[in-house]
Amino acid sequence: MEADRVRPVYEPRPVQVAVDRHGAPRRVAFGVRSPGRASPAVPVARINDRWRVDDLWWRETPVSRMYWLVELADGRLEILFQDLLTGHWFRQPYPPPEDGDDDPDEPADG
Amino acid sequence: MPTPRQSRRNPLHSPTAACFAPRWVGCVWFPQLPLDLELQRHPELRDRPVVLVGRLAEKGIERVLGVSAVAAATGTGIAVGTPAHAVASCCPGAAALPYDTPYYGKAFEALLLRLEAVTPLREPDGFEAIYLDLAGLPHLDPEDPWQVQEALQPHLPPGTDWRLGIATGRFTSWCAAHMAKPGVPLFVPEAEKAAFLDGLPTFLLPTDARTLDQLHLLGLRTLGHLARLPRQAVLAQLGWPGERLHRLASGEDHEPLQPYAPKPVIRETFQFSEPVETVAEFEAMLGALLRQLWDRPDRERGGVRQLLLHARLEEGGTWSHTVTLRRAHEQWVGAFAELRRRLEGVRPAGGLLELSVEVTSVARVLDCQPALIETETEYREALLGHAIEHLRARLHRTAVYRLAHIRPRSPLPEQRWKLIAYDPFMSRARSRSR
Repeated sequence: MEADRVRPVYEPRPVQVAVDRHGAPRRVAFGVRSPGRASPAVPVARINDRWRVDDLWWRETPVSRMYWLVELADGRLEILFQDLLTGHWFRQPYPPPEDGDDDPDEPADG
Repeated sequence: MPTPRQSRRNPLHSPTAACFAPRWVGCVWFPQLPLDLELQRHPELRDRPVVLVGRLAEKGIERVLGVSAVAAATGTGIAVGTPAHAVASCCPGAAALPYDTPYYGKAFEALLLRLEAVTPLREPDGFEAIYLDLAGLPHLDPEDPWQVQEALQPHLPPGTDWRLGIATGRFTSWCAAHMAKPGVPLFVPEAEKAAFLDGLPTFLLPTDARTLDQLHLLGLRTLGHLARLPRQAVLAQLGWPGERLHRLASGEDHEPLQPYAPKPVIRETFQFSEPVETVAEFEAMLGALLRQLWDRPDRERGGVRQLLLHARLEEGGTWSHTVTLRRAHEQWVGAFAELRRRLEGVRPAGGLLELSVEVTSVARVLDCQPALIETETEYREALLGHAIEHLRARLHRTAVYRLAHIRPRSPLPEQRWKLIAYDPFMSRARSRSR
């Protein structure tokens, strides 16, 4: 059986985040450019939104996240979240819901 | 009833005399193999009452198919055949496990293969018994039951209740195994065969429940009662099946063993990295598994007529479903379209950890003629399919995906969508079954 028949999409990617005293992100470093050399951190210009997600509480590994929609100093919009169980930060770019996306009875067919 | 006999050399046991020697048959009888296997799988249930529940027919209700010794000792009246819904009220502490036919089948097949070290000719009988041809074996004296038992012991699963009976003929060995005590083999010498069979109950005869009822109504409680009747009278009353029963009851048991030959298992399995709960993922995997099955070079040519689907569930149980297709399918697309329809309402509930599909029946002759001229759509799909296959072969991975909504309402974006390998044939099958 080929392992690549089903692939995840919009997987969270770890990032380095410096927070202020309220826990809000102030600077974000995206990944590592070369071994031993982290990419420079980008300051957060503005926080546009934030929301909390608690899910899968019935499983052994529940999910608890605080999402932040931030505007960076270079003008980019990024969606970041902090895993409230481990404290680690991630970025998770994904498109906003479109009309008709919420129809659970009809899975998209390509 | 004869007692187990001590070792005695067989005077006929020599290469020249082997062909004149009686056909000694050993019967290994497992009174409750499925339950023994379940208790090995769940050792924590050993002290609890355990019952196995399942369906005898596809559309029948679930019934108890096995009762553990602890459950039988509770005196609550649970027996084989009790409706499964009555278990909870009769015996509230009982653990009801699903009758896992594929699991028992695998264990039984492995056992049959291991017994090849004892004798090359073995015949299985359900999950209940294995007949062994003990004649002419250079390393084994069939008239020494303890030696046979010692030879069998290392190949049988430990902790399993099994009995050994040895006699000339399959039916007599079956009866001997039923009369044997655990760990004490029962040997029936040829001279004592008739006397041994005489007092045994008629329910040991290999026949259906209706005939057994008929024998009971005629007052024939033992094999001796039946054997003492004139054969012509039994033939007139019960027909040729009755004549066979009369022969068996009289000890005239010359039916040869049907040698076991392992069938190639055409099965494809996929293990999920995380529990799968949605119909879209289930169907995507089902389609991929069917395609793999149809591509197998060891699959018999012809159309697939029956499939066994088996899943391991997140909660710890299993789900099995056998689907006999309405016609033999030569293409996996048609089978997929029919399966999608047939599985409506019987799909496994809860998260799936593993899904496997096995071909259990193949029709060599197709009952429909494939179309000679393909339509424009089919032609385009075939072209697209070949192009995708070409890309896959060149890149050594799936190259074209479709974005599928898996859990549209999940608040976690990575669970809302998944990329599923795009397959134009599967898209056609999906649209065909709608």
